Amino acid sequence: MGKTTPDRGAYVSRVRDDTQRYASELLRENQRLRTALASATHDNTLLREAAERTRGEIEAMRAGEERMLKALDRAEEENRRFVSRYVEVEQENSNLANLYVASYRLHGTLDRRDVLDVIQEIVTNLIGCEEIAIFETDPDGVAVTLVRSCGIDSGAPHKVCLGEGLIGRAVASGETYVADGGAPGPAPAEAGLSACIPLKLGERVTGAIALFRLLPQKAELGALDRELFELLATHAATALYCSGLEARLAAVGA
Amino acid sequence: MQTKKILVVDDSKTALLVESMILRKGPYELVTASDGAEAVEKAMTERPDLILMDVVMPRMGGFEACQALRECKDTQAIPIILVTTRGEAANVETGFVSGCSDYVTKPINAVELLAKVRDHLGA
Repeated sequence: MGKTTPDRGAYVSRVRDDTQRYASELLRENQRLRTALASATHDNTLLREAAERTRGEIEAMRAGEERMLKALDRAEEENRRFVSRYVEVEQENSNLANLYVASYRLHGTLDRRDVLDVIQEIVTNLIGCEEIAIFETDPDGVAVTLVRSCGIDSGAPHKVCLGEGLIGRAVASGETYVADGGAPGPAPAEAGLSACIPLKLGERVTGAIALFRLLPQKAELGALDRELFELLATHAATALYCSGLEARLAAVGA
Repeated sequence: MQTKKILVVDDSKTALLVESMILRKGPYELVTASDGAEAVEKAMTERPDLILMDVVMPRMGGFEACQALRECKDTQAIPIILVTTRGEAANVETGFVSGCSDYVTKPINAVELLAKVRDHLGA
């Protein structure tokens, strides 16, 4: 082994120093990276947590939205039910109003002609029939005679014997006839008969109202019409009877 | 809200009563007339917001009254709903030609009438 030259010693010393500095820098860089990694890891954890929270919030919001949509559906359904019920109630009120008006008008006069006018108005305005014939039972009780007709071009039967044809059978039985398309062939004078309402004072039939052609927009007779028939059966009979009494009283007074 | 005034015109007291009972469900003040001529007179003096008028009436019918109301400056803008017994297209067409704004048919459907009245009055 020879003596170390100063240059070589200096070189070794410089290399050692450089190596130490480099190692030191590497260690610092390593430490910085460790810190950065720890920070990034921490940030990542925070972000993950935040993302998780956001995901939870989104899910909660979706659930909330779903609940709100369901609630909206329920509200809309309820609204539809209310509208439907409103129409029903309005229709019921209207029906009751019609029955009230019919009754009020029938008993609002003792003049026979007015009573016949009112019956005609009720049939046209509340039932929707443009052809009508009103009959009264003859004193001998074997037939009914026409006392008023309206809108019947070919003319209503002037006299109908009880038990004959649809009108005669309705009067004899005291049962309201309503055409349902399956009725036995009506007599020519009864062609187009839609309904026949016997007028009754108690059990006694005093006449009949025959309804022929309905108005074009009136497709068929409904539940309210049948209620009006029941009302007409007794109230029109009573009104006609009272107007007859009034006329007789007036004649006696005169 | 200001109460709207409706002129109801019909020669039939039964129809008039039914129409009035239906319209009283709304916030309306009602004025009545029994034929077209009286309707034209009352439209001038009462200045209704809407007229509900029957077609077939004595003295002056609904179509004629409708035309008369449209020819007058003071009444030409009043919405007129005709109440027609016969709802065929030709009859309805005659109504619109005479100047009516809308129509309803007999027997009157309360819900339909109220909806049309609200529609024309905007209330």
